Amino acid sequence: MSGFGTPKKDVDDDALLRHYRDTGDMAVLGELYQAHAEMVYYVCLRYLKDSERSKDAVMQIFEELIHKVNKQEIQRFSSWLYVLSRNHCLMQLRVAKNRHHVSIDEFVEFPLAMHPDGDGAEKEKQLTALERCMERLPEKQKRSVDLFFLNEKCYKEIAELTGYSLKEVKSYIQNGKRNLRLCMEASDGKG
Amino acid sequence: MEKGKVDIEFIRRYIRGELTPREMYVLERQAQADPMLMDIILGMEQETLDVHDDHLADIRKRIAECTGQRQTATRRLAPLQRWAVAASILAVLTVGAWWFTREDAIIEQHEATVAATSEQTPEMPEAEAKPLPEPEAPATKERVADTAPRTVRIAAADVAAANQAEKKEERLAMVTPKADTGTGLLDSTIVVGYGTQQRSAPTGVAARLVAAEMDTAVAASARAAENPNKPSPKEGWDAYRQYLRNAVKLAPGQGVVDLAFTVDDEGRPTDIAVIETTNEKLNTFAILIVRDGPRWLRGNATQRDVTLRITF
Repeated sequence: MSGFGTPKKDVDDDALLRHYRDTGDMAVLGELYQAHAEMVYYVCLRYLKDSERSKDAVMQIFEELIHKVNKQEIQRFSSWLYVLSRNHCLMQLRVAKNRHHVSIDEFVEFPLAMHPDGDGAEKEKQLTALERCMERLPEKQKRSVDLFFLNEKCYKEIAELTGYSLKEVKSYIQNGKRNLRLCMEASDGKG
Repeated sequence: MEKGKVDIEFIRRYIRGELTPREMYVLERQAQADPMLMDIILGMEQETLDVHDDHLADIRKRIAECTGQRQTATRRLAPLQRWAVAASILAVLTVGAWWFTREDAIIEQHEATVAATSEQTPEMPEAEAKPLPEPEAPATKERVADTAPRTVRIAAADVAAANQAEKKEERLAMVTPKADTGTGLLDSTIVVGYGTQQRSAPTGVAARLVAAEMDTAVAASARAAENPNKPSPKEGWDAYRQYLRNAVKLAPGQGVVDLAFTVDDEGRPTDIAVIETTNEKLNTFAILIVRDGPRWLRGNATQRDVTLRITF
């Protein structure tokens, strides 16, 4: 019976949104938001690190949603709502001068867009650069990044293999990735 | 998981440590490329899941108050549904026996037809999935017309139908043992029940409970195909079964997944939920097959819930 609480419902987001825009019925918007409230809550919790503040934020984001939902074009509701939620939290952190709680560095790095149109020679050059950059990483970062991205191990396995804690593994991967990106950008500029 | 689409339940299983290392890796790797997924995981890791659930219940209540939503508009009705299921099971016990004795003659006749079909094509058990004769249709219509204590009546009808299907299967297995060996290969479907209205799955669930005990995989419930009040595939059952037969070939494993869903105004299956599965890996696949598959006809407004079994 575990399936009862979690029906898949990405399909009818659009329908509910359209219905709300046609009718202005708050209950419809409520239903739509209910379906995503869990996601919004976790995102808030991730940034605000406090459940009571996060609960309040979920409600504030709902109000923000009411104001913005008809003014912006929304292609995929869940992604749009995620960006709205994240910005709300970041704004709150800034306003509250709580920046020491979460530094910007800790935030998720967006994947680096490699030049997808690069030809074979370009790719080869990038791979060489990547190898060189990998060599330059601090040992722990190098090992973690290598195990994760190249050997496709999950965090837990990496922790078991290396003896690092789970938290360390995550941080090595995150920092290693950032350092790689910086190194790649630098070598790209040179080339 | 496509970017921007997040399966919260999957992440919960990740947090609970229920995933295999490979599944964990896939999720972690996706999170590296998808900030939304990453934020959700990091948020969920802040506290234990039961603490989250308390807070989430509170949030849902606050949203509902804020929008004047009736609480029933949300689908967190598990305790209620359980009671409803219990009530429906009771209906199985009381009505089932009565039905068995009453319908015996019809089943005999039925069985002869099914056996004959199977005998002709012993290597192709999906032949069973063709619409069977309709001994029960008039009875069903009668019940639908009779609106008095509706839920119980329809529950009884569904349950009895499932019972009958079960019985059919048993007999089929006796008469044609060859078909039995082929059941593992069956890639067909059944509709085991219909609810009376949106979200009131109990009648379908009751039917499912009975149907779940079936050893064989296919019981074509052809009565549904004929009844215009119930949701049915827009292009007909044969075309839909053909679609499913093709779709399941791409599945990443074998198993049986029972889905429940509603048909929306545009004929798209929506609110698709897994109610029973023998292979968790197939859940998302099954949902996508139905979601992205052919459209349905809704039937009348009060009978939209469909329960569908997909055998991989």
